[in-house]
Amino acid sequence: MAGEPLRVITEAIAEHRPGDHDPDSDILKDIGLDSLDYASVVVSVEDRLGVSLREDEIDWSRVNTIRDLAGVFERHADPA
Amino acid sequence: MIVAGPAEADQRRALAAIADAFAARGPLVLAADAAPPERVLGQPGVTLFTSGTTGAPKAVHRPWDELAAEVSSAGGPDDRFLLTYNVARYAGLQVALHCLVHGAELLVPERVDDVEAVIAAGASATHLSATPSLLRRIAMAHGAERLTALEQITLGGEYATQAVLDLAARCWPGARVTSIYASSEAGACFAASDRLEGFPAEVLEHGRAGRVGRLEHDGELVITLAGGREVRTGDFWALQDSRLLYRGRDEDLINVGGYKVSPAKVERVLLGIDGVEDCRVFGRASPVTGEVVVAELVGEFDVAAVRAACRTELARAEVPGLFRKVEAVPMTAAGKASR
Repeated sequence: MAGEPLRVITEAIAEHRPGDHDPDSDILKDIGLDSLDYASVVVSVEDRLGVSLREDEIDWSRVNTIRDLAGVFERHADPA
Repeated sequence: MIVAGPAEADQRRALAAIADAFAARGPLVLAADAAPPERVLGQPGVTLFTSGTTGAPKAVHRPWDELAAEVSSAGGPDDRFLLTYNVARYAGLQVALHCLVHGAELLVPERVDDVEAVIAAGASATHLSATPSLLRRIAMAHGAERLTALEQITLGGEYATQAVLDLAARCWPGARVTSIYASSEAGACFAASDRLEGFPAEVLEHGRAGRVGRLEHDGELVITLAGGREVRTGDFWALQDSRLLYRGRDEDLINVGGYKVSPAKVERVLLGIDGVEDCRVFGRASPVTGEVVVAELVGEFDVAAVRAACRTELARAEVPGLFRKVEAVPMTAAGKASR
């Protein structure tokens, strides 16, 4: 599923902030999503990928960019 | 104890037991689908079990005189009621008792939980008591063209939004449409037939069969029965322009980052959007905001337009984070939209 979360997240973000977003842009600071938009993006991606993230799987202090968030979903799919 | 499943034979067996016990004013224990583990005493009257939309079913005992007093005085032997509820639940029992008291005919479908079977049994029905969820499904299944004799539609078990009242009026323009607020424990409390959402505020002082209601400071409705017994309903309401409007049940509220969202309110807005035929709104755990609002929608619509409409009419936290297109909204055994 490598690459898939990145594409799905970018699409979900574009539903809130239309445009092409750089995978290394900061979701809150650069793109300007607030927590409600962010929650919406995460639940949409969970739904499209058929997974459920647990809060304890994410270290929010290390998840800033689209690529970081994609990494969380990739690790969730392949914990090894 | 009678355990009545949704099939016609089970329903007829339970109806016969209700008729016998009512005539003798004897004890009757009714359970829907499966026998609950709770031990019940055989006191005169009916013991039944709350539908358990949330949580485990709870035994409720109702004396016959209280139940008989809840039967509407309007009715006659020419009325034909279509059964859409399991008679082992309060709403179905009310319909059964109404037919017994007035000598009306009760049309029993092959299965009370199957919308096609319900419509097939109801071609000659003059009276329909149903949940708003079931009414929407009947309408989607072209029920208006098949249930052509309806004179009275009574919506209960769930809150009837303006959208569902309008739907009933469009599909059956000649029928009277009544919303009723009832619970297994408090019985039938309020009714309104003005085709407007909610109830006029005066129903609090003048409820059915001597009931009086009051709203606690947090909006919870407390009903005082004619005999003085108080029932906390767990249902939350708000008074707006002399109208009593439903906010939801406490346990239904979705906590989005500390903001309590009423799914009933969000459903009301969604059902008012063009193309949305049915929906359910519930909470899902979110690693971002604790919970997030999820909406499942039936119909032909553009998700972006639905989201935009929600943003106009709802507070930010109330706007669903996820809109999921589904074929149908799952329902509980009691015919209510399952959250």
